[in-house]
Parts: sequence; structure tokens; C-alpha cells
Amino acid sequence: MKKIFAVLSAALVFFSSCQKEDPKVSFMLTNDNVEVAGLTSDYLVVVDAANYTAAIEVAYADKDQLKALQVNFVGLPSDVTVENFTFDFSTGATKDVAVSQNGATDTYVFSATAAAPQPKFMTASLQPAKVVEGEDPVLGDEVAVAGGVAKLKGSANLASVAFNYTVTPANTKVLVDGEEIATGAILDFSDKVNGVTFTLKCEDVEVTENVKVVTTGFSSIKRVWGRYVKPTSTDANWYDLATTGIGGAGNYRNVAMDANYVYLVKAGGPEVNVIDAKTGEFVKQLNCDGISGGVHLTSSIQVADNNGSSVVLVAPLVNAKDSHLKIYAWTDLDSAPTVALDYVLPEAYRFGDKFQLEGDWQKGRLIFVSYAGAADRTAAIFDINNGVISAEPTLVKIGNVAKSGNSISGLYRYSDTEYIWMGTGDLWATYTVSGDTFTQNTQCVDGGRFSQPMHDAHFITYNEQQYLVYARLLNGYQDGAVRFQEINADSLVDAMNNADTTTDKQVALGDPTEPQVTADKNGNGCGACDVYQAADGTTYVVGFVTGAGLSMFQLQ
Amino acid sequence: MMIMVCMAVLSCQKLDYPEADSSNTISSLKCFVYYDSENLRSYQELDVLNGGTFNQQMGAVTYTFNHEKCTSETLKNCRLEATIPSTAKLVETDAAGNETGSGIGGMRDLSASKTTVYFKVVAADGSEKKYQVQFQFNK
Repeated sequence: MKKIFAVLSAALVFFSSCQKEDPKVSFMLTNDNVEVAGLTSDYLVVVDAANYTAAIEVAYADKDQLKALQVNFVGLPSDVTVENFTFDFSTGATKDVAVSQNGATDTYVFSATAAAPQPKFMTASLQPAKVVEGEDPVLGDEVAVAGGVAKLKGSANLASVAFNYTVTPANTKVLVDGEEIATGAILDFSDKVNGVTFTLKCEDVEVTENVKVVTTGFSSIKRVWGRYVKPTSTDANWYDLATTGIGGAGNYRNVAMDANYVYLVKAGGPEVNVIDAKTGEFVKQLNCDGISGGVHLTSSIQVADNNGSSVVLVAPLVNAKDSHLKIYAWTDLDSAPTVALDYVLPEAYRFGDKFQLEGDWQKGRLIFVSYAGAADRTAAIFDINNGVISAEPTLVKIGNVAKSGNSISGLYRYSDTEYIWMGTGDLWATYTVSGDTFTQNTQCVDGGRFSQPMHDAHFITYNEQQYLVYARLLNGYQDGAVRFQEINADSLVDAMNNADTTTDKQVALGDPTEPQVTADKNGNGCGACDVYQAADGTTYVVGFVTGAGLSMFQLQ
Repeated sequence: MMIMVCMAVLSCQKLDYPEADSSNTISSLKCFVYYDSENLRSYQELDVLNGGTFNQQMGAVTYTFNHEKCTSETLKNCRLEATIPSTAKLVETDAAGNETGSGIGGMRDLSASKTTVYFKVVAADGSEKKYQVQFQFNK
């Protein structure tokens, strides 16, 4: 019995040691082994080897590929077999995939879905649109939207702006206030605070995007105060003759300003009136002791900055050979002026109707343009260095502007190489300047866009927009205004030749109610303006036209 | 006797701790490509989540390098930086989920046509979320 038991035990041990283990798959499938072919965008594969599942997500743009998704297996060890397949996952069905190794098989359950759409603007841009009845709108420059903001010019009509866009996915709808819009739709962007909110809708997914407009340049011109020769309201009275001696339609022709005062000079005099720049109230007349000589003892005026303080410069009107062209300088509004220039005319030029100031009292120059008609008009340029005006000018020839006739005019600097002439008798002309040589390159003949007289050109930049600001007279010297024209090219000649003057803004000097201009005619076509820009960009413009009035404006 | 009783009772009283934070998702993932191995201040910072295909729920990202600074040479020197909740920790793993280290910092070579980085974010309460980031580079 014991022997049988021992044999049986031995047999049991023998057969146990011969029993083989079932084969197992040691290989673990990862996302790196799974590739999906035929897609246009990146996709995701997440393999959960512990639970034998694999989830594929294709981009929304590839969702149609789910109907026949081609899945390949790569990077497999040599003893691992997995069959590539193509399967329709679009119904939500899953596919069992066998992973075999050494006779063993693991089965992974594969699923595939498409990501939800993410509608958004691929591109967006705005174009100011002039809507013309019965015609296609006239579109302005296209400006891209960046960060939900587009910058348009201050002169643009924000109530009529074309909105251009492309979207992704391609079947995304764009709605404003619940209404679908196509690219190029004309929308109202005048609410700069809230902008326009767009709803982008793709299938069940909705997102909103907001677009606001900011504008360059000024949005409005505020009249700070006004004095009118012929007021139409009791609030706007010309200066009391009895108190100030300033006449309404007298020979006041030129004006200048600094941070504190407006200086109104009389042709004749000598008389220089100081007016509070903030209120328009008369302050005083400058001490004119020592002023003598000239057809008009005082005629034209500029204010030079001298390291933060002002030097008031006044010139007489002179027109005879050997007469004295002087510049009187006030560094102190309570004292008599000094004579900063005493130039004896070598010929019968007429200087002093106006003069221009460039730079400041430490480094600058003064330009006088002769009134006398000539085939080749003369300008006198005096340098200023460290508060001293050069005793002798450089005399330059500027050709036959103003049709070679008499003209009150000036030469105004745009850059070191470009100047503009403007005044009475003709439309503007531009010059190319090299050293002391002024070469006329354009004589404007476009009376449709411009009219003369044009006086006292100032090139300023306000809120990233460059402007030409000048005084002008209309209706046969009857009415006066200050005009603001956008400069939209780097070169002056291009800017003037291509100017769209329909976008100009104009403010009247002859009436407190915009935009009417009704005043007294003056016989000489004189007008003037000056600009003061504070360090923080606050910009004031004073305008004056004889017979119309004097006003202070602030750009906003 | 009374003092001993009080001390015995106090030692049994359980303190109420605030619930541990369960936040375990990443909010950003940056890849820094150092294109000048001599100067580690020269690098290109790439936003992997916003620049790639990302599904937070799946914990999966596919990112394809296409920046001009990404070449087979520069992609050998890359560093990853993830933003996770302040109470969580990030642990690098292998494809099977086994922990291989703490954090995903340090230089790594992402110049292969396909490189997957696996990690998990462990919340303060112990809950985990797995992530995989597959970097693709078409040479």
C-alpha cells in the first residue's frame, strides 16, 4: 500500500511539473503605437492599458472622417501583431482590436469621436463705408482688428463701418443682435465703450466676441470762448471799445498765443493786446515805448518759447528801400520791448504783413515773405541762436506764387525738406527745400477742394493723427473760419495732392452758432491762427479773422 | 484626579481639519526650446495647451512644433513647465502610469518625430488626474 501511495505521489509530482502556463501578452499598447491616417488636423489618442480601452478624438474639421477612420499601428515589437483597420465610428460604435503576442491575445476596445467645434474669427477687419443711395458703398482703408480693437481715424463715420471676417469652422454663423450677418455687413460702431458684440454659432456651440473702435485724431472741437464782431447772442460781445480800444472790424490782422495769453496785434498802433487764453477776457496792452517806424508800427506777431517762458515778437510793416525792418521783443509783459532786429531793406520789399517762427528762442528762425508782386517772389530768412536774431537774412527766391501779384502770405515748414506756401491771391503751393534753395513742386489749381485765402499753416499731431490747421476766409473775405485737414501721407506733396477735404472739420469765427459764418467784409483778406500744445497733448487753437471774430478752441 | 480625567478626554477629541483640496488639473503648460546651448537666456517659449490640440477631460495634448526656432538640433534642449494648483503635486510617470520621478522639469530631448510625456497631477486629497502630452516634429 505504501508503495502504491509513493508511486501515485511521484506520478502526481511528475505530471504537475509538466503542466505548462497559459501564454500572456506582456506588451502594453500606448498612444505612440496608434496612428490615424487621412486627417487634416492633430488628433488625440488615449490608451488605458489597464482597462484595455483606447479613445481617439479627431478635430471637428475631421469629423466626417469618422465614417471610415483609418487606424494604423506602428512601433510594435517583432513578436506583437495588431491589424490595421478602417472602421465607421460615426454612429458611436466601438471596435474590438486584438493585440497578439506569442499566441496570446489582449482585446482593446477602440472608440472615436470628434471634438466639439470652437467657433472663432480667423480674421476681422473694419472699413469706414460711405453709403450712397442706389450704389455700392465707398469703402475706406481697411484696418485689422487686433485684440478686439480696431483703430480708425477720428474723421471716420463710425455709424457706417463695414465689418469683414473669416471664421473657423467654415460653417460657423455670425450674428449681431440675433440676426445673421455676412462678411462686409455695414454696422454701427459709434458706441466706443461697449463696441459691437458678435455671436459665433457652430452647431450647438455659441461663443461671443466683442469688437470696439478707438479713434485717432480728435472727435470734436470745443469752443472755449468766442468774441464776435457781429454777435447773434448777448453772450458773445466784441471787446468793449471804451475799455480796451479794440475795434470790431478794425485793422487787427494777426494773433499768437502761449500757455497763458492770446496776443492780438493791430496793424498800425503801436498796439499789442493781451487776452486771457482761458477766459477770453481782456487783460492789458503791452508797453510799446520805443516802437517807431514803418507803414504800420505794429503789424505781425509770434511768440517764441524760451525754456518755458515766452518771448513776444512783433514786427512792423515796411515796404521801402532803406526802411527798417525791426523785431520788438518782450520778455516781460510789464516792460517796454527791446529791439531784437533792425534790418535795413536793400530793396523795396514789403515785409511784415506776416512772419513765421520756426523752433524757439534758443534755436530757430524767422521767415518774412514779400507782399510785393514779382515773377520770383523773395523771402527773407533770419536765424535765431541763443536769443539773438541774425542781423542779416538769407534772401531766397520762391518763384511766381500768387500769380505774381501782391499777396499777404507765408512759407510754412512741414519738414526740413518740404514747405508749403499759402496766403491771398492763389491756392497753396508746395516746395522741396535743399539748404537755401526752395523749388516749387506743386501749385494747387483744385478750386473744388480748396479755396483761398489760407493763412498761418500749422502742422500738428493730435492723438496719432497729423493735421494741417489754418485760418481761411470765405464769401469774398466776408467770413472767417479755422479749418482742420488730415495729413495722411508721409510727404507733404502727396498729402496735399491726395487730401480728401470732405473729411475736413471747420469752425466759424464770425458767429457763435456753428457752422454759419456771417460777419463784416474786410478789404485785405487777413486772417490768423496759432496753436498751443501742452506737454500732455492738450491742444488749443486760437483763430482770428478781421471783421469776423476771435475764438479759442480745444481739440477733444 | 480631575486633571487626569480632563487630559484623558481631551486626547480623545478629534480636531476638525478643513477638507483637503481636490484640484488636480493643469491650467497651463509651457515648453521652453533653448536654441543656443551656450546661452540659456536664449529660448523660445511655446504655449503647449493653447498652441496644440488639448482636451482637459481626456487629459491629452498633441502639440506639433512648427516655430522657426524649432529644429532637430534645438529640440534636443527643451524644458517643460506646468501650472498646477498650489495644493497639488505633479509626478512624471511612464505609459503604464508607474511613477518615474517628481515633476517634469529638467532638459529633455523632443527632437524625435513623436515623443510622449506622461505625468499625473495629485491633488491634496489624493485624487489623481493623468495627462499625456505628445510632441510631434516633422523633420
